[in-house]
Amino acid sequence: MSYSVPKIAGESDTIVGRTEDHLWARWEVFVRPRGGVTHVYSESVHAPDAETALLNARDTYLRRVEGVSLWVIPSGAISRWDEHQALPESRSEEGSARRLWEAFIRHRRGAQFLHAGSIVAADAVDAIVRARDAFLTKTDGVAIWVAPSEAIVAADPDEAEMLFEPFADKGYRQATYYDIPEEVGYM
Amino acid sequence: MDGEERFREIIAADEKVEPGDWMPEGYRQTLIRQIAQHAHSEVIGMQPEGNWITRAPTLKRKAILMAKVQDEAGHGLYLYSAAETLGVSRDELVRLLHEGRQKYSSIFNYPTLTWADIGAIGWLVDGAAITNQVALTRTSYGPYSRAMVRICKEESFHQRQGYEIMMVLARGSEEQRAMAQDALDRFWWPSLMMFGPHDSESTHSDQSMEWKIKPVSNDDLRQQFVDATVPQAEYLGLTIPDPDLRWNAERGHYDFGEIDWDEFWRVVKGHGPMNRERMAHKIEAWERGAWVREAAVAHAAKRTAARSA
Ligand SMILES: [Fe+2]
Ligand SMILES: [Fe+2]
Repeated sequence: MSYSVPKIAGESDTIVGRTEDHLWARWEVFVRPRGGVTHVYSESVHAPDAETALLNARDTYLRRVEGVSLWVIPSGAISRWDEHQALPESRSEEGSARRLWEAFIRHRRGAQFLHAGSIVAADAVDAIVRARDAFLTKTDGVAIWVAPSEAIVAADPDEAEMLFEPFADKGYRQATYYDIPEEVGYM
Repeated sequence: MDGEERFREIIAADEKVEPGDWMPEGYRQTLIRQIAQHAHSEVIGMQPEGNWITRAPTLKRKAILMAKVQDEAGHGLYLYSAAETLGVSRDELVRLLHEGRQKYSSIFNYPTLTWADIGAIGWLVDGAAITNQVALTRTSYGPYSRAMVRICKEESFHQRQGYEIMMVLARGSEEQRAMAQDALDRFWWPSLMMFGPHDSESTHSDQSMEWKIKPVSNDDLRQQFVDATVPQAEYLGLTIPDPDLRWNAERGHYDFGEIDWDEFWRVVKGHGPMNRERMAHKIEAWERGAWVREAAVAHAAKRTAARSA
């Protein structure tokens, strides 16, 4: 299979346990592509701080995609729900101290998380319940992430040019830059 | 419905398994092994090509090669990120590679002796990788599948820049044509080896195919690659170093000769031309970078302290 390295006769399995140690924290990356309507989850990077996380995210996930906005969120700030977990039926009482949350939805298996919108909620569970009620239909939505809005670090719009433009003039990064005769087949 | 039932249902329906889902421990281990191996291959794969960045024949070729090598670093990061969704840290995977407990593709244990090798790698090695990776976009694990989609979008550039290098050399002087032929001679068989042992020999295959981690078998992928590549070699006017290679009208495929499996196993076991050098370089780079990683953490901590003071 891909880059297949088979086992040598008699080689034992390396059983990999669960580890979370990492010198640099993990940040979840969201990109709104040019012409896109919302921020799309783009997997993660590791970085010692938000500033470096934004730069690493750009270098990793925006080498070609034209982005117009980039968010990073510390992985630990996100509360996660999926179809296997029970959710309380009702929201928490109005009037308790509430704040703003951002909600991200995976609408079906295999799809990426999309930013669905903001909600006001008392805590993470309340935010998930409210996000479900606000953004999910009965038939879709297999997972929800919520994060306090203040946990989101957005690339400064004033620095957008510095972040997103450097790759625009590098046409040689595109496959179409190379003249390959049709008769050799799709490449 | 319990987790195991749900897992079986997801696999049977050709849906994607997502990180929060219950999964058999064997499924998790197989994925970690395969994704980590794939990630390590992308990272080690920067070395043979990086070897020619300073010696690229023109500024344009240098810029292209740098962009390609940077892509491969990115591919490694996409894959480590996918592996992390299985509850293993990136640092742990790096440690396992450095301790020799996880491997990378044997193809990167061959040296890049001439500029034509950069052409041959883009054309053949990336070509073989594309064949694999396109199939893997259909793998049953969501994060792995999405990493493959992201990677495949970038691979076309890799293969085309390599083939273009070969086209220029094949049209060039006698010496340049000989250089292109020599690169094909050395990279052809190792590229076929990238698909792994015959299906009849691969011990992990059945379970992997049942779980739909691996949608297409080694031999089928290898055949796909040969069928696509032969006309490309013909167009270049180069000869594939296999006397048994011929079109089989009955099968509708090319027949081809047997891989030297002794060489294959020698390299897997660590005795290829470049195994030691690749690992030594990788570990040295990691160790030399330690102070940067630590200084960045110290700097971040200092700034946080200053802000809250
Ligand atoms: Fe790659
Ligand atoms: Fe590549």
